[in-house]
Amino acid sequence: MRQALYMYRKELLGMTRNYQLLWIPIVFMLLVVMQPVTSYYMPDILAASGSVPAELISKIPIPGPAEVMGSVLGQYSTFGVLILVIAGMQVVAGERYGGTAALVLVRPVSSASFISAKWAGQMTLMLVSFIASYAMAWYYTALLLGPVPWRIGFIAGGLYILWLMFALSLNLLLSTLLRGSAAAVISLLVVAGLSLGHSLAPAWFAWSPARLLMLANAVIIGSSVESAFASVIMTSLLCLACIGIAIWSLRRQGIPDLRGD
Amino acid sequence: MNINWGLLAPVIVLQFLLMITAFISLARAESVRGAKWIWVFVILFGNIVGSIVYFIIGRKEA
Repeated sequence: MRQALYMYRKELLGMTRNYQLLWIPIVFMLLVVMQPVTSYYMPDILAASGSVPAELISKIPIPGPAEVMGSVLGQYSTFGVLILVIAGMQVVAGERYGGTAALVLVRPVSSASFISAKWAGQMTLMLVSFIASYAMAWYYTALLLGPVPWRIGFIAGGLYILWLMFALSLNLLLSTLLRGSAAAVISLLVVAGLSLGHSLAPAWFAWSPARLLMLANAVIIGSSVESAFASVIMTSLLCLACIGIAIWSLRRQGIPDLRGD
Repeated sequence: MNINWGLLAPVIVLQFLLMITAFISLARAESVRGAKWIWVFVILFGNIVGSIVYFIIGRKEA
């Protein structure tokens, strides 16, 4: 346990040194804060472009707070996942192929504490980015377009955090099995495939973590939602499975042959 | 068109912070993919995207 904590601190230090702990939260904030701001200024923007007649502009409705928060959440499932997965694709592979893992793992460091420290580091980065940007989007939406009920906002945010957690756990697992960019590509394909599959054939993908996205969007626009319990349990189990397999395979494969790389 | 600058100020500050971070990182990096002076232009004129592209593909993993 102490070992894992020590590794986790080292992980955070590494993310500070390569500026991830700074630039990713900033990018997230910029990404989502644009939603309420551009929605609010949309009539002005169209007017400035000059090609839209004035009477049409006055008819364009400014979207309500719930719709804007919905599109904010949409940003996380596209650009948010993309940035987090690409930034984290080297998380295990980088150290294995760079030779650092060899130095660390010949000492009595268990692969369980190695992987769990990596996972905790990735989660910290995600949570800091998500909470900071979500709070900012929430504040701007409330300021410009009207209040968002607390309960609804929290539930939808929580479901999205769980979805991002799943994407990052999968990325961690793939980063243990493959080299960097392959891990990112496959994680993104799986995540995109799941959410596409779920929107095309909801009945077949009812078990999948992608249901969380649908639930979150239903919560935020205030339509009635059947229990999210099953999806939450399922996603948590999948995250644990990813971590478990990552630990097992790191222990099994050990350190790759560095010759020729 | 009247713009509420108090509202946009945090956004501008964030953009500026992102750019500064990218420049500090660039200045302190021993080597990057491609030439450093190209990245200066990418970060300077690429807005948010320029900095993101620099952090994702410009930096070499240490």
